[in-house]
Amino acid sequence: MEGELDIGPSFTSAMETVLAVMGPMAVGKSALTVRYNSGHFVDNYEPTLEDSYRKTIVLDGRSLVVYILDTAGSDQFSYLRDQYLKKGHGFIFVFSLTARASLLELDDFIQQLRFCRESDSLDGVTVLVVGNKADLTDQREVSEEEGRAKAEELGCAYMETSAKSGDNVREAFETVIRGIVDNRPASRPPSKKWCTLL
Amino acid sequence: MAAQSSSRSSGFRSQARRPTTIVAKSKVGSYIPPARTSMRSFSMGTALRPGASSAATAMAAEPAMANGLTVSEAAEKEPSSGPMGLSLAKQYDHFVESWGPVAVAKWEAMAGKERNRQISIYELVRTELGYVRDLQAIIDGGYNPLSLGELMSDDELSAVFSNVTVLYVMHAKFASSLETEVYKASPFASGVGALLADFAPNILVYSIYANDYPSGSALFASVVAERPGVREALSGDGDSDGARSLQSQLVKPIQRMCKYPLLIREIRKASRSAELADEAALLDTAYEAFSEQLDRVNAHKLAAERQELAVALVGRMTASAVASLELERRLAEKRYVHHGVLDKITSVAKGSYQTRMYVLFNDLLIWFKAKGKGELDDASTRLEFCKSAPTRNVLVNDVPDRTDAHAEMEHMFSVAVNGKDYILRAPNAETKFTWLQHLFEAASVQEASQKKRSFANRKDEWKVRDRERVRTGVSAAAIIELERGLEGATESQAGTSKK
Repeated sequence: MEGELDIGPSFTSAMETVLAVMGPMAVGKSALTVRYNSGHFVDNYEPTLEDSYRKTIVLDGRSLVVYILDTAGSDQFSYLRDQYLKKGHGFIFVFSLTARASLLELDDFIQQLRFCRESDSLDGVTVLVVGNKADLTDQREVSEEEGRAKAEELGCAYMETSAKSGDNVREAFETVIRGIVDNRPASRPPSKKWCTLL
Repeated sequence: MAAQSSSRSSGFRSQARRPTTIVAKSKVGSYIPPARTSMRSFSMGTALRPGASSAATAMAAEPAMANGLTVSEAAEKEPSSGPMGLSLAKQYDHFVESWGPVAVAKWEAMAGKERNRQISIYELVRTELGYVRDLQAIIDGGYNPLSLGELMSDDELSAVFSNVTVLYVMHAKFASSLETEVYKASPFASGVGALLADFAPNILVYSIYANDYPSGSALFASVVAERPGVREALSGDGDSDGARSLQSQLVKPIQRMCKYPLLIREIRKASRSAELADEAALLDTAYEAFSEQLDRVNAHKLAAERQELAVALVGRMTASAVASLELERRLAEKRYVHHGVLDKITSVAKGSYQTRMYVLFNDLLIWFKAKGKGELDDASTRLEFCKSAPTRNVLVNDVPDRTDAHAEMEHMFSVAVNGKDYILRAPNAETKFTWLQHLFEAASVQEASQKKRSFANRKDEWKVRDRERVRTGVSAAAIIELERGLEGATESQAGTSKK
């Protein structure tokens, strides 16, 4: 009965890594996800080509199944947003370097994440704050120092990306995935596990 | 506790779900083609991508729809036919690649805005078809094998799959009408505003799915972990981990419903010309309608979560507490707002305090102490009633942090109940702020509704007096004054009598 009331993270299968890309509207969540998954940037036409991706990646010699959730559209519906916050093992919180307001909105997301996890600290969850649209240098409203300071204040790592040029996109995703794997209490290299099975 | 939690799922949810299960059972097999077969036919559609997407082939394909076949069945019959076959093709490349050269040439000759409009509509239709396939995969790849193999009970199935079959039927119909209507005459769409506006109210059905999803998903994870048969049943066709993909697919409906406003906004952006004025107006209506429905789904989710919390809290209260507060009877009319453990300071000078659980309903603040030696944070610790106060009798004030000898005396606020001051301490500034916000809100909402009620009760009285005023010439201001006095008196009376 208590299990039903448990609103903590629901860990699916041990080696699957669920990563949610979240953030305010129009910061490039979908573009980042698409860029990471397909390697191309969709110009002039933003929304959401796909909802979610499951891909097998090799990271540091380990093969992992990564499930990437694009949460676009859920931003203004806080109680729907919960679903992702409870499900993710790791998060990329995206804001736009060209919109100061989007940086400030991240506070809400982090606060809600803490609430969902019923924890004041973000221990056990990997969170990366990403300033996207780094290519639009002439429209920049947030400096790297400010972005970094915000991330530090929230207790997260920081990176700047450009979904358009692809700069740092892969690195951002891999940083979070690595963080999740390292955080996992009983993480074993899957290759070893498979050997035992075979 | 068990009885309470099942009564929670009665009412709106199970009433709505009952027919769902029936639909699922009667339609399974005949209505829903197996997901994997249809997937194959979709990719076949891609492979046999026709060079020309002429209007003629589109027309030829239409009768299949008119026969009442589902999208995917029609696609299986006509895997390579015209724009329909094309838009059914599952692919993630740029959309142009899925159109034949003739269509692409036409499209390239269009003005920039119209091109964007066509891509946007195309995305709506294509992703809608993709979504229908996802739903179908959930049913064929998950619901059906688990239900037929009797690997999960009916209750478990309906907890995990919720009303996914209703969603499937609803969206299959919508996708099919999108295809037939939108691409009726040519590979290019005239408009989708009317269809979207018509469809919007259906989104409310998602309330059920959104409420069931978190616990359903958790239940499924535990079932997969505990029953090897489940994993086996789901790993057919060389998909080594069907259970895992099903687990990830279950979130699709949540993702999809949030996408409509985005998709509509994009189409709307490209529909700004004079000849599209009607379409633009319909798109605006659709956008509003979808957003409104999603707000409602969100609100339902909030209400359901609060109700669950309230039921859980009441479950922890000792029998005498529940009885003395008449909570069981009154819970239905109460709205749970917030709860948490706070320190009740007994002496600021000494820094002594008692730890209490505070539960705030819209009209009532109640506090409890732990029964026995358990911690209040622990969900198994029973709650023993201390005191309660109607929120409108509660005065809330900030208490400044003390920086002198008492390093720990921070994040405090005071709650005055009928002249007695309680000083409470929160574990951190955020928690304190949340409490203050909720308490203020509960007090003011209560006040407003109270006024409304008392006003309604005495409406007739007003009318009579109004007539009298005209007759006797008493000033309006004097009457308002009198009213205020009366209202204050009745309110404080009601407060004391309730207590």
